[in-house]
Amino acid sequence: MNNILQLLQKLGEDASLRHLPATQLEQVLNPLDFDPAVKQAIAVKDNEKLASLLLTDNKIVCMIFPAEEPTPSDKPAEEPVKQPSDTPEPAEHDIKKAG
Amino acid sequence: MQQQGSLVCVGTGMTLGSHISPLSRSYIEQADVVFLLVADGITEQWLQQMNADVRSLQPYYQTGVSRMLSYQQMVAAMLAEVQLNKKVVGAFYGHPGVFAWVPHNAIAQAKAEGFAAHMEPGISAEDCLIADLGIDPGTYGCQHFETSQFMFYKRTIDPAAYLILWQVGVAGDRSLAKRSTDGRYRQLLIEVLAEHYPLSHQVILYEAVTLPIQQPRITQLALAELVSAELDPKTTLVIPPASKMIVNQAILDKLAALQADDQNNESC
Repeated sequence: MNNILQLLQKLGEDASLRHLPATQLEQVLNPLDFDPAVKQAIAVKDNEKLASLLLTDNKIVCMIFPAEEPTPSDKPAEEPVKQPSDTPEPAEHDIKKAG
Repeated sequence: MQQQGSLVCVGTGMTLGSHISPLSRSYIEQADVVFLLVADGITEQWLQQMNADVRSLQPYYQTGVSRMLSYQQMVAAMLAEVQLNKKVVGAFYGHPGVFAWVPHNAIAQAKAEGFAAHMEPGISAEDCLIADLGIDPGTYGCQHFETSQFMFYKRTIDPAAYLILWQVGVAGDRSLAKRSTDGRYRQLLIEVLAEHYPLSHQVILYEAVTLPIQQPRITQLALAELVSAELDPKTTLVIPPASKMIVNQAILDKLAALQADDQNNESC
């Protein structure tokens, strides 16, 4: 997993790799000791497939801007703020933030 | 008196590996605790490698619950760690201050409680949009609105400038609890826009790249087609100018008079 993340970082930060066509990208991937399915997902630029192979949720909620300022009814209930580990997982993650 | 705890909200940029600044990365690496909110799970895993205590803000979102409550809980979670005198970093994708209620409010609250707090910018979706679409907001001017806010309030639109509407995928949602809105909501958006633009006006749906293996989404369509377009909640609607800028002749005449005065004064 770490090696795959390091490769993605390299693809993102190296000017010679950032916009490689698929054929040349395959040449970069071929010598690497990765799961062939992961290589294939990167080669065909299928980020959803890659996310599923890496067991990550690729559709996560990250919108953090309201259209209107909060009203009094939006105030949290008088209960302690839950820590992430205590909070139930959402049934689905499918919102993206804009900014 | 300044407290020991601190809060820095940093931008991680839009694209994994490409956009994070050395300073933002350093803040993440040196923090006691990092709260994280990014656009995809792979980027989240990449950033989790940078610090031993990285906590995703994802679990605060709950289906059917107003996101406003989630936002307030996120701020409270970050402030709770600052109050324990920890060096806290909030790492947000894009720019942490652009269409981002949580970082602004967390910083304001930390400052109000006497803690050091500030923001470090990041490369935003707007920055990527300008590069990918090859537009310059200075050429004709540019207006930005959150789509729902644009619908809820009467705004003065200049159709000679670019109009960019963010979060168009949840257009018209007042509950902040929906993950998307359907064609009925978008039809109302079109109704508002049709006051300024012909229904045949060509608009653009844009999505920035989050992984370096992706291509940006750039879809051109007529305004009327927006009602049935495929929208992701991160989709942005870009409306190019539909009319020419109108010369303000009265001001130009006054400026010409001023220039003539200046020339007369210089010749005296």
